[in-house]
Amino acid sequence: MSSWIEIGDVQARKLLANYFAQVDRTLAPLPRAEADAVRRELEAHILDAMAGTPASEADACSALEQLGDPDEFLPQLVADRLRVRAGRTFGPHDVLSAILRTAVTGIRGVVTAIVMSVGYLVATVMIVLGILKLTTNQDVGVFRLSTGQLFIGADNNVDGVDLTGGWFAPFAIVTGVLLYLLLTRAYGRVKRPRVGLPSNPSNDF
Amino acid sequence: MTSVNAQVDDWEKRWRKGVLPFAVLGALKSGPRHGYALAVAVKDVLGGSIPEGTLYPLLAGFEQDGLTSAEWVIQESGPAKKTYSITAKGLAALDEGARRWIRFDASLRGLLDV
Repeated sequence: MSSWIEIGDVQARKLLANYFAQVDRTLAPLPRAEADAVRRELEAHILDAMAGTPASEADACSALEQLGDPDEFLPQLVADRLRVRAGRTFGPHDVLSAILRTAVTGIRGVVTAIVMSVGYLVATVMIVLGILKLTTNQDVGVFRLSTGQLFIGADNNVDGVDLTGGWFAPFAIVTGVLLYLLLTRAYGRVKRPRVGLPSNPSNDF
Repeated sequence: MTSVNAQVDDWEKRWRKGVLPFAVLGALKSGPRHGYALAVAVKDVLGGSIPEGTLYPLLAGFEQDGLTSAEWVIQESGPAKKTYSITAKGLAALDEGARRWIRFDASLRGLLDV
């Protein structure tokens, strides 16, 4: 048998179809070729597990139960692949997808996603401030206010002395871009525990 | 209050998960295997509490880290299977792991007095 679609028992086929529909949904964030490869591997696993059985509904149920819930074991795989991909392409869309998927892989995933999000937020703010300084008439940079306090950011009318001057724009843009590149490179290489049952945080040790 | 058996079940689940990567690499030492064959080989380590699907993120991670390599092997009958082999780096990790495991085991036996 080369595919579970060839299984004669209608109920077994229905069970498998539902399971692999769930697999497809979980793998949807991955590029098509990668998702297909994972699915084919799981299909081969199920066929092997059912080999030598009558391939009844009970056999399919038992094989699927042993393989486990795709929502339990696939999110980690999806997050890891998206993270590695982001570290390779440096594309903002890939980075965002990876962070969103990492955030649903248990407590460590949430912490990683929060740390990375804060880092990217800082990078974005730097770049935006740099661009604002170049393109608008707003007061942008680091100012010492008349009250003695420091103000970092952009405002229409800052009552203070600009401590940064004209070099703030290139500095902010270059720093923001470098921070983005460094964060993404580090994110693509971060080591995550690959064994776990993510839906149960008590298993995250 | 958690019963003794439930407490020990929880410990056992944790240590089974902990040694799973080591067991999978060990199973590959004797030759290339595909996912289901690996699940069968480490069945006793998985026990009944860890789903076989847990192996796949682990295998993907091994590939990324260069501990294993993988290729799709066409079967005479049935679908092609992704088959995993241990690399030189994987063997080195396994050997080092084995050395540390023996020391760990000896220490624990001393503490448990068994």
